[in-house]
Amino acid sequence: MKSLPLLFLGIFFMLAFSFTGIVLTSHVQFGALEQTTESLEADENGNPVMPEGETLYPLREGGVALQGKEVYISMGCIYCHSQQSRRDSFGADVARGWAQRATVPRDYISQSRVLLGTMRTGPDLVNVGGRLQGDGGREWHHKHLYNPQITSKGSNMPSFAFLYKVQAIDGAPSADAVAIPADSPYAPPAGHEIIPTHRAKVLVEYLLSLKIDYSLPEVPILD
Amino acid sequence: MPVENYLELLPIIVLGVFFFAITVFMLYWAANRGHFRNMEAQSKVIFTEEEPEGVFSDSFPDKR
Amino acid sequence: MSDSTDNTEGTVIPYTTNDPSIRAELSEIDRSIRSASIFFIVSAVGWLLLGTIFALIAAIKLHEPSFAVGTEYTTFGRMRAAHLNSMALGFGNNMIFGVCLWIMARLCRAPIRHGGLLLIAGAFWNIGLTIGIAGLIKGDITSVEWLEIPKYATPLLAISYILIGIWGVMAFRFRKGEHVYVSQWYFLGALFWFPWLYVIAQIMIIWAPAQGVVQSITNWWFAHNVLGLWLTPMALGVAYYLIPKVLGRPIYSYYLSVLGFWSLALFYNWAGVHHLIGGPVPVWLISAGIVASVMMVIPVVVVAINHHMTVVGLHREGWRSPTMRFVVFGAINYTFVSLIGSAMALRDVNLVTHFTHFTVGHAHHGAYGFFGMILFGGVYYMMPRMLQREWPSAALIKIHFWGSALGILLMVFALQIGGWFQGLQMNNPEIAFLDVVQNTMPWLKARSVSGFLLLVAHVAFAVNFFWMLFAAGKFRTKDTPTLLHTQEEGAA
Repeated sequence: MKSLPLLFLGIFFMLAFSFTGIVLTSHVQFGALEQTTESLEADENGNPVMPEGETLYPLREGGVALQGKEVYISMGCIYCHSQQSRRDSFGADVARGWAQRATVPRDYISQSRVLLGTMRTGPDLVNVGGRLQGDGGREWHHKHLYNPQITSKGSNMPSFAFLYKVQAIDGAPSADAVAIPADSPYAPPAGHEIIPTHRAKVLVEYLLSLKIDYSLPEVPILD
Repeated sequence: MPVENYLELLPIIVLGVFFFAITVFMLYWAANRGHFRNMEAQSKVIFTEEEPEGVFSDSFPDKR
Repeated sequence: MSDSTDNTEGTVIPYTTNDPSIRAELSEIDRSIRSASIFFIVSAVGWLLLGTIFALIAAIKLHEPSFAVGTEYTTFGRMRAAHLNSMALGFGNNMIFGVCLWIMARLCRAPIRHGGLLLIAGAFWNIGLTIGIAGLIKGDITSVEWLEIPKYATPLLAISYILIGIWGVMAFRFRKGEHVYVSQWYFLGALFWFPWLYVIAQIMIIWAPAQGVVQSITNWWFAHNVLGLWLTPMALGVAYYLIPKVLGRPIYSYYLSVLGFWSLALFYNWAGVHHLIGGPVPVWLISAGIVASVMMVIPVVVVAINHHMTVVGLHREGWRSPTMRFVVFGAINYTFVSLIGSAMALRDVNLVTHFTHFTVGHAHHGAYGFFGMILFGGVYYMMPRMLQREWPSAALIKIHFWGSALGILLMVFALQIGGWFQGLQMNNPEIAFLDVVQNTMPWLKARSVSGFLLLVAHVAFAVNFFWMLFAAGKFRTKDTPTLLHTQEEGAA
């Protein structure tokens, strides 16, 4: 234990061993994963192939939802919300209705930044778009982001009111206005409405896009 | 999620065996070169004339 | 020379010599590294105070969600990340650069060369970190755990780091004397491992992101190794030096130290994936991580035996040393936090603790209860030797110790009890999520109380430290057994 070269070699090998085993091997195993159809069928030789004309999953990320992902990252949402679902027999993720199956590596291949998360101060979000959809979903999310107490009393999520503007109603209420009931303690002053900024709108589109509503050959959706 | 094909683990298993063999060899080589003789002496290198063995070298500032 | 040791071998090797061309006196070495070490500790104290403020803000927000929500700059995610980076990189790394490089210099037994290099590296480090934390608060946070600092600041950190790594290797390369001490293996290991981990993680996650979950796997290989191959070996190296040094008694078993070092190096590396148990990663990888996490019991028990047996019989004397209080508290908590960590890697335990405050408690137990406390001990030992003065106030040292010890114990208990219930309830689909949240509230409030205890402790430390630094000439010591008197007056 006295010679620098010997120590150095040992120290180097220890790290190289784990780097190869953990990082490189995963890279080899999953780096080449591609989109696939929800199930595979057997061709003439009995080999599994993807049926023609079916949608490939996971869907590519893009558009407005991708802009919303930037907001999600910038706000640090990952520090309270995970985006992974454990299998049905290991925890209550499926039983709670957070997702209908476990998430697997292939679900994340089209994400440029993977946001698995390690805390559930708030619920898991990998399939939040499956739980809150369409215009009803948008309305819920805007109310919740503006002030979580409106939809979720007792929540410890902070308010993101700085993503919204309070402005005087000009003639008719605008279509975008967040639908807070007038008698709520969080309602804006009379004659005013709350309008989401661009960042709030794209963030909500991102949340709506988070769906695990498709099967994969390795893990079909549970009924 | 099960591994589809355990052959994918072969490189890491081979690396592991190789690594284990190298480690055993290096320990043997080091022992032969006398690295492990007289190790207890090495534990005393922290003591010097200014801060010798057997002397407590720290206390609270208000105590003797 | 009184000999209260019971562990002497037959022959005494003459490792002290009067020939100055062979070995430098400790006081000479201390003088040569003084500016750099003091600079690093001043930086560390500043970051500690800032990091504690960020921590309190984040902690209060979790049970008072309307606290400080006016602007996006103080939103929880960013405050938490600012806290983590201020503490890990600002406090942790500066403490390491100050204390461990000093111990390394002493063990290499030559006055340091290129001290200016360390000062430049330290300046880059602090500048890079300031830009990085300001940037993440502004909104450029990467949302990659332990790598939150935006791209424009990380190269400064990398350069600084590389300069320090080179300095460390050169100091070792040009050491005097043949014997190498266990602390040096730990420091060298850490100095080598950290830049490799950092650069690989930055490349594979931020600069040229790998596909999908390979990022997450790399992330946790990196982040856990920051704890296990950087913070842990640095703290262990300090403990292995200071425990025998303060007591005047050599480490119990040097052979055990060799076993401890290599088993740590081997197993710790593989444990990181335990952060992903149950997640979208291959089962074999998780299993390897669990096995490695459990095998960590070996180096942990080895270190515990070594430290305990070195201290046995001298507990009372140890208590009278501020350094020993902190270092021994840290070393004992190393054993506990590691055993709890090994348990947390078991699937049935992980089922409950994953995603909960339990993990946060565990992280603080290790980073503060083990690493932080040992490094505090290092500063208490080092500074009198740097400044040739005693610490001005014993009372402030005691406030620091008790505030930190009680604060961290309260934090760990609150978060782990609360987190355990949180996990059990989350796994019960009958219990509404909002009820689970409400049930964590009392524990989170207790954690904020612990945060205030820590704030008091840190302020006491900072006051004592700056008082010592600026009150020139006032507290020159008389007869305490430190390096502050000549051998003839000494308490031999």
